[in-house]
Amino acid sequence: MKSFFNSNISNGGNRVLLPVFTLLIFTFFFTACGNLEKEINLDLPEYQPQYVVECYIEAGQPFTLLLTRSSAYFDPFPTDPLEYVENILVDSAEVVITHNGTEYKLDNTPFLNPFTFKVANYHNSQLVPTDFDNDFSLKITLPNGQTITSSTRLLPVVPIDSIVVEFDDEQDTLARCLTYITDNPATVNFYRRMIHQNSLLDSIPDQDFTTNDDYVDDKVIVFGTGYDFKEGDTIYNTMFHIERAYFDFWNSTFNAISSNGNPFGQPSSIISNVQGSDGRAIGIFTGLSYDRVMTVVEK
Amino acid sequence: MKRGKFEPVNDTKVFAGGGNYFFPRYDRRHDFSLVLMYDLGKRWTFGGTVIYGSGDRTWLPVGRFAFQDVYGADFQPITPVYGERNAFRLPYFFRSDLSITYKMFPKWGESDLNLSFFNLTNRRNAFFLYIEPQYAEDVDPLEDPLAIPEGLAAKQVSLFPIIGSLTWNFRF
Repeated sequence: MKSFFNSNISNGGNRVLLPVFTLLIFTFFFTACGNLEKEINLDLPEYQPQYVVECYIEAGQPFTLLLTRSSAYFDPFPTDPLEYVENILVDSAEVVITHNGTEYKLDNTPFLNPFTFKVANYHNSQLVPTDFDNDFSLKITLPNGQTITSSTRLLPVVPIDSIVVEFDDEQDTLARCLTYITDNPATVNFYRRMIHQNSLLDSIPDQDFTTNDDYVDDKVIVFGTGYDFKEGDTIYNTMFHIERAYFDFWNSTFNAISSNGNPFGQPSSIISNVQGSDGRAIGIFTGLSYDRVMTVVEK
Repeated sequence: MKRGKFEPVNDTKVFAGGGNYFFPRYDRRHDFSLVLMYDLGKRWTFGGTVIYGSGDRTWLPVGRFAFQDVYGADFQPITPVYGERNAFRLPYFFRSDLSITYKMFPKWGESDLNLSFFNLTNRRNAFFLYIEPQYAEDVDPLEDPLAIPEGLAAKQVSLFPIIGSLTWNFRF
């Protein structure tokens, strides 16, 4: 091998080696320009489905509860949406909400809210009493004998004091929206803010986040937007006054969802306020207290 | 090895799985490197490296559920349930490099030509994994928030394929 290289060089082998090197470089370059992304099979640990509870009680509204089951992450999805819904709903459970000594039994009947189009599979047409002083307790007894329990309390509505629409000084064609609320500095408060444009049902919220009042010293909290609205747009401002448990649940769920398909997201375990007798229930039982104001953008 | 552990914020609310120990993200349990160099006469130098390492740890979902949320918020058909933190190990890392240097001795100074190949075997080492919902061709999940995917696909992204380089170094 040593004599081969030496003889090549002495016989003008440079004229041969350099083009060979160059050809090798380009050959490997083009063969390497393949896709750097590929689909793989993941061998995940076995997963036992868990029960999932979503129950939001709202003063003056009927009691509704959605009880579903989770599935393994790579389980196939039924192609028929109805079949998909039927697969995840959990029926034949006994659901009771107790408040101030009164028991409200929710029947296992499908319920579709004609206004919000939200569904539930447990429903009681009696209205949730407006009571901010006493807890509501939830107990679900599942067909297999396991139980899921939780408790919550309705919080007073924190009304939206005022909404100010300001047009951009320079362009004067787009406006922003400032939302003012009054916070109680004597207590730690949590909020969820939503803002929709033109429709609540058909549009993705322009803003949807939770916050607390740690960053304000006085009573006034202002929420703003960018200059995103044209004259004639309709803005729906919603301000939820929520409890700490719902704040933790929503943020952990949001982080988990955000990590879907996003390798740089921050995954999170779901922080639930429901307790299963087997320790594996997921979900939220909370009161919804909110104020919603509709504003039409005008100059 | 020191394992990570978050202390519970309180008895019932813990972000990292109940106050249990978990593996660090960069837990490369085995790491092997081999470097070789050989001079063939005055002009030729050959170099090579071989690197093998256990894959890093990552946190993957094991389950999913449908999350309806309140009025005004979107329905989320795929809400992941994450298992134990950093319990999944990525595929092992393997890379080999090759370098060939030819020295020339011009009168005006020094000169050499170097041909190198990074990742000679063109192995697709996993840089990160992500999971992507697969929808039917006529479905746009951005326009239809109630759209249900046909399935989920796990994808691996690599950083570098084989990279060749030809370098001329000179000094005068």
